[in-house]
Amino acid sequence: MSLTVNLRPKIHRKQWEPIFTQTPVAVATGCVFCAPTLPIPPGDGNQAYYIAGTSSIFQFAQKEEAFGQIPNSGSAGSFGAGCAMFWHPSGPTGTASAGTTTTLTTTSTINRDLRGYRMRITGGTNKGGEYIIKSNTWGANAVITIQDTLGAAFDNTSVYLLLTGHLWLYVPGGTSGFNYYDWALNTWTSRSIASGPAVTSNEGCLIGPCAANCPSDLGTASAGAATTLTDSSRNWPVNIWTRSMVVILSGTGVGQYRYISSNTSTVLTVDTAWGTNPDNTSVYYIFGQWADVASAGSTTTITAGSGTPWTASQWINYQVRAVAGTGAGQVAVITANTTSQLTFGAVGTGFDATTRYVIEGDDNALYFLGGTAVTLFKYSISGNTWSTVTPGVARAGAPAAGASGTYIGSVFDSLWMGVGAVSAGGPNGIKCNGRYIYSFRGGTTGTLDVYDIAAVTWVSAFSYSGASNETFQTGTTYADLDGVIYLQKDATGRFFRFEVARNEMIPWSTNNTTQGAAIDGARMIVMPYFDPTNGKKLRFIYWMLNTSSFMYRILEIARDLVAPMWNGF
Amino acid sequence: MHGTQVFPVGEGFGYDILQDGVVIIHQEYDPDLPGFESMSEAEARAKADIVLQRVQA
Repeated sequence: MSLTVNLRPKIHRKQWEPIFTQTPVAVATGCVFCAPTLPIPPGDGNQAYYIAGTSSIFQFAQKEEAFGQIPNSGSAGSFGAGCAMFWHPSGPTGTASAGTTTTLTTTSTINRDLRGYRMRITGGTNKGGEYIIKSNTWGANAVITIQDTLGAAFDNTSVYLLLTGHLWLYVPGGTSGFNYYDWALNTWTSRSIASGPAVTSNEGCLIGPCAANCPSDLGTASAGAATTLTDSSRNWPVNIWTRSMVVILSGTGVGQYRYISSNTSTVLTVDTAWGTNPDNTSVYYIFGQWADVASAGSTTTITAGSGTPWTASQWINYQVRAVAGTGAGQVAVITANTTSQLTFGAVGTGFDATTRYVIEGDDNALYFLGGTAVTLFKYSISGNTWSTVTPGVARAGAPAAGASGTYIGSVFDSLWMGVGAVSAGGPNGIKCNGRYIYSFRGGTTGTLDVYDIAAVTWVSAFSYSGASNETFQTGTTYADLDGVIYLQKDATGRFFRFEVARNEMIPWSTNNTTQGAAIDGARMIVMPYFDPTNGKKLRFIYWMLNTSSFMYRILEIARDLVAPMWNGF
Repeated sequence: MHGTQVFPVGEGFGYDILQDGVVIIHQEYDPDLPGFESMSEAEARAKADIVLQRVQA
C-alpha cells in the first residue's frame, strides 16, 4: 500500500498520539533519549536509545515503537544530571582476511543482521568504495556480502568500516564514564575520560560533527545518460545540489562518484561523463558540503579543481575525504585553507589531479558541553584523547539547566548550501552547513550562543527572531533534524521549533498532558521514517514527559514555512 | 550469570565481560588512560573485576 501524506499546516490539525508502549523505566533526572541526527536512514534498524541507568539501557525500535534492553554498559560515573548520548554512524572497522568480488571476510564478531547498512572501504583493494550490505554471517570473522558484483575482488588488504553505528555514552560524576556501544557487535567498550568533562549537575550535551550530517538524499534513479542521473520522483529546487557529491551505491554503475554541477527538479548533471551510465536499478546517494576533483595535491595539500572557490579559513576543522583517484579512502582534518588550497596533516599517499574528494564534517571529533562551566571539550576518537577548546572569544555565560548543544550540518536551504564565499559576522552567511554548534544557554534565559567550529570562537547571545522572549530552564528538552531544532519548554508542554535557515523561534504546538517535576536530561528525538513504497521521508517527533512513564509522538506536518523544501521532505 | 576473561592483544592483555557466555563488554586497551595503552595480564584481570561489579550492580 502506498502511503501518501498531504497534510498541510492549518488545514490539518497537529495530532499528538500517545505511545502505548510506555518508557520501560520511568523518566528521572539524567535520563536521555537519543536518536541518529542524520538525514539518511541508517539501514533498516532506525536505532534510538533510552538510558535510565548504566545498567538500564534500551533500544527503541521505531517501527515497532517498543523498547528492548541492551547489555549493561559497565560504565564508571554516577548516573544522573549531565548524562549524554550521541549516535555516530561509524561502526566496526578492521582489515579483511579475504574476499571475492561480492564478499568480504571481516575480523569482527558480528551479532546483528546488517542488511541495508553500508560498508565503506578506507584502504586496500576497492578503497574509497561504499556499498550496500546484502547479507552477513554471524559470529567471529563474519562474512559480508554486498548487493553488487565488483570489478576487483576484496582481499586481505581491504580495510572496511561498517556504517552501522556507535552509541557514545557519557556518564557524569567527579569520575565520569565514557563508553560506546557497538550495535553490530552488541558489545560495549570503555574509553578514556582523562582530561575530559566531569559534570555533576545540569545538562550534558555530546555533539558530533559527523560527515553524514549534511544535506543529502538517497534514492533510486529512474534513468541515466552520459552526464546525468534522473529521478522522476523528486522535485528538487534547481541547483540546490551544486557541488554536492553523488555516488552510485548499488545497481548499474555501482561505485562511481561524481560531483554535481547543476540540477533541475528531477535531473542531476555531473561534472564528468559516467564510465557506466546509471539506469533504473541505480541506487544513488547525494552528500557532502563541497565536492570536487583536485587540480593538484600532495601529502598535505589539495588544490581546488579550478578558480578560487572558497573563503580563506572557511574549511578549518572540516575533514577532506578522497573517494576516488589517487589517495582514495584517506581522510584528513583541514588545518588551513586559502581561496584555492586546503592544508591538512600528512596522509600516507599524496593526492594529485586524479583525486576526487569531498569536504564534510569531522567524523573523528566529538564535542561536549554542559554542567556549570563554559568549557567546551573535544574528544578525538582515533586518538582516544580529550582536550579543552581554547576559543578566540570565550562563551559569555555558562550553560545551565535547560541548555542544549546541536551541530548544524544539514540545513536544506539555498543560502546555507549555496556556492560562494562565507559572509562575515555569523551564521546567516552562505555555505555554512557544518560550521556551527548552536547552544541555548538555559538557566531561565532564551539566550542562544553559537560556536564557530572553523573560527574556533563563540558568538554569544546570537540574535534571533520570532518568539525570542521565551526562556528555558530545567525540564526543557531538545531534538534536531535537517536544520530544525525542536524544543519543549520547561515542563509546560509548549513546543517550539527553531528554524536555523530563517533564524527564527516558531511556536509550534502544545501538549497539555500533566507532567511530573521538571528534571534535567534530553528526552526528545526526531526520527525520519522512509516509506518503502515511495521513498518519501516523514518526520516523527517522540517526546518523553518530565518525571513520567508517558511518551507521545507527533507527525510533523510539511514545513511549508521553510523555503526551499521539496515535496515529501 | 556474568564472568570475565582476559585475552592477549598486541603487546599486552585485554578483557571481556560475559553474560551467559556472551561477550557484552570487549576491552582491548586500558580504559582509564588516554590513547591506546596495553594492560598487563594482572591489570586486565583487576580492571575486569571492577567492571564486573558495575555490571552486576
